[in-house]
Amino acid sequence: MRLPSPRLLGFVASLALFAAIWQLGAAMADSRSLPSPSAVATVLLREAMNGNLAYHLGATLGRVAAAFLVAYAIGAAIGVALGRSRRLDILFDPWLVFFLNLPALVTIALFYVWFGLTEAAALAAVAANKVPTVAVVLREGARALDRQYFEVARVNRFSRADLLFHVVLPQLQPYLAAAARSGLALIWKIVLVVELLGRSSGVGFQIHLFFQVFDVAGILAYALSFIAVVQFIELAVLQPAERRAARWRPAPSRA
Amino acid sequence: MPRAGGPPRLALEIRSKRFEGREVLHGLRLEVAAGEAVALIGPSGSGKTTALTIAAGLDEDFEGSVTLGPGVRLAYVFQAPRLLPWRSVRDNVALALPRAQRRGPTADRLLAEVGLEGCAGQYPGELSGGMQRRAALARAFALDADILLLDEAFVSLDGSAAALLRSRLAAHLDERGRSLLLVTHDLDEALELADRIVLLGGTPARDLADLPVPGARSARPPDFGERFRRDHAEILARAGLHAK
Repeated sequence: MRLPSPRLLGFVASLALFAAIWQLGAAMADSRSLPSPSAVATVLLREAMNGNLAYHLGATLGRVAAAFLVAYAIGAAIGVALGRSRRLDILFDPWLVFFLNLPALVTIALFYVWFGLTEAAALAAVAANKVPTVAVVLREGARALDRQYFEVARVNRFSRADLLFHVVLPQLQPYLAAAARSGLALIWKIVLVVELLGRSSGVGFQIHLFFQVFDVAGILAYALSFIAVVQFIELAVLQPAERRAARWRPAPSRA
Repeated sequence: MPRAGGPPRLALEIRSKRFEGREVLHGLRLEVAAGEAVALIGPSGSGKTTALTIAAGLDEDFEGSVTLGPGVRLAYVFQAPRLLPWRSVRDNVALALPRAQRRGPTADRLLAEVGLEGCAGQYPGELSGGMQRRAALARAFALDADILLLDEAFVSLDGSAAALLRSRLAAHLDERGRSLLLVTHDLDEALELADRIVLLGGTPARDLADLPVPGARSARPPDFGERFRRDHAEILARAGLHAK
């Protein structure tokens, strides 16, 4: 039998320590405001069994995915355009700074006022919050594109598709990955706010309901399950994809 | 040695080329005929690479003209190998092939031609500098171009590897009647591969001489290099290429 890695053992120990401190604190407080881990687990199990958890998690994940794709595509296109053209960059950089500093809550409120409490308005509000950060990262990536490989593409008569897939995208990959990870982390938090303010499904909506009756166990049950899902996406999708994309890099920088 | 007549495959005329106001080239004319190998030779900093990038159409900021014969295609081997580091060695070669041949055995055959049989699946970063140069040459072979432009392609190879690669290159050119425009600072290399040697020198650099190399590439007597140096000693010295 293979022994579990020290990393995994450390992770389990860390979780156990956290649960123990939480349990102790809950026992000492003895309050509905700080339920014990087991109380939260009971709620989690109940919500999972009656189907609510899957329904609301699914709704939120769907919104995260849709908003992420829209923001990523638009942000990447804007970023690359600004990174390749000095003129566009000079013209639009102040806009970027403005939108970067616009609080998410303001965008959400404005979009709901302008377009009504609709799914489209919710997704657009989330995407609008994320577009500038993706654009800034990809602008750096586009600026860092190495001219010598474009000459290689030219003398080897690459088609436009070859140029994109074999010259441009591999160079943008670290920036695309950085934008994806920070994007996911940011978007799921904003989606909860959007749901809280104007949707009737999703984790944000559920937390809003629990908040109105001061049901902390319910709030924590949904929060924890969503954190688990997002971590799963990070570990099972994003990190393996990045490792795959970085195979060619020399070993020292792989660590 | 196929030394065909007719219009040149490549005619290059650089009246003037400047970098940030400083003139680096002032007057260079050269022509490369079908099947002909021309070496452009001069001391370092004489604008050889610049002339080659202009010939390849990579630099259009100059006074003069580049004329290609009808349908003539170029391949270019850069001074640094410039393999795509994120693609395997095989893919680097395959990407220069026509789409239909990319998945076939051609890339592996070309890699074998330069002695890189075992390295097809590796990434360029895993190869030595000399092996990367060989892969870059295989990539240029993959284009199957009418003229091969070579910028100091044998630098940093050890003597025997360079000699082997030169003979592979000569065979590749002879087999298909391809032309070669070779930039080098090494007169021996030029004498081994070229039919004509264009000397570049002075500041700003210009063409000082266009010297034919007697005889066919594959059938030159062993002492002919010495004779060539003796016959052209004065002009070679003026180009900064002193006899060994």
